[in-house]
Amino acid sequence: MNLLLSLIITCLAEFLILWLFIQHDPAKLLLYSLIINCLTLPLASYSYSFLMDNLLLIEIGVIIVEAVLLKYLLEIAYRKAFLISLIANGVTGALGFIL
Amino acid sequence: MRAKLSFLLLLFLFLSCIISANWADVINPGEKTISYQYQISNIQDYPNYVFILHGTPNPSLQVLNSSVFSFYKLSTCRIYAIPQSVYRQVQPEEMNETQLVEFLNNDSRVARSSQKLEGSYGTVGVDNPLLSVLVILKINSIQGNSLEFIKEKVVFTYNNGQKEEKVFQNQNQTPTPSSNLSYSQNYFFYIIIPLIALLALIIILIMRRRFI
Repeated sequence: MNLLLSLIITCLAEFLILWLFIQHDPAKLLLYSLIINCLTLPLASYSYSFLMDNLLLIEIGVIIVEAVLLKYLLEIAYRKAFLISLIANGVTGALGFIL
Repeated sequence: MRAKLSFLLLLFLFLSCIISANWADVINPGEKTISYQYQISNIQDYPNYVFILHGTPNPSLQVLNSSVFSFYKLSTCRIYAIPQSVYRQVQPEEMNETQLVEFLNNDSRVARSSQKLEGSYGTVGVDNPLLSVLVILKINSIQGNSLEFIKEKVVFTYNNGQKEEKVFQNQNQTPTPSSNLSYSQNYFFYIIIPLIALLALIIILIMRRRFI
């Protein structure tokens, strides 16, 4: 239950950050946030729980993968995709520590 | 930019492989150790005895009562019963380790059990809801220097507060917890959800190419 709750919170937080950068079509942004996080969060959680407990390395991997996905889904430049991914994961990472 | 990105991805994969390989034989990330807890259910039926726990490497001497007790996960312990009068007379807590071992193992007034108690139940995944394993011991008899007790039942406690009791069918084999809730939950989270997301992603990208 905690895993699903963290997935929902992450999706919503990253959607809000996406919306700050790409200010149109919020429904599409929410869908993309959902797809991206449903792909990366379980894999990152699995990696952290069962493969390696290096959170920083896992976060870097997630940032790279999400940036690539954002670039292709939103059809934006790599630089912007990386910036969004970096901020989004920074915020959700901080949220994770706080919560 | 693509070349740089490819290089970063390759570097990340390479580092991941090195780190997971290095840690493989040390400790498994994502696991937690569950220690055994013990409780003697009928210790109050033997008021004339002092029950002592002694183990290697520790505890050296722990006086037991009806409360739950546990010890260092790598220790192996035995329980000894000493008549109150003898205990007061010899004062085992004043002895050094060698004297204590000599007294517990060889003194004819000490009743000793043949059963060894282990400190660690084992390791389970961090997502496993199992919190603690309590073994209930029951003293069967104290005759001469023989203390006989049985492992009566085991109580598994889960992180949602649920408890599950199982009776020992074989004294050398601890019953296993029947809860496999975490496995089905994790299977859904770690495998089904990413697969659905990947499928959705592929469909979106294919549809976009078709309509361009």
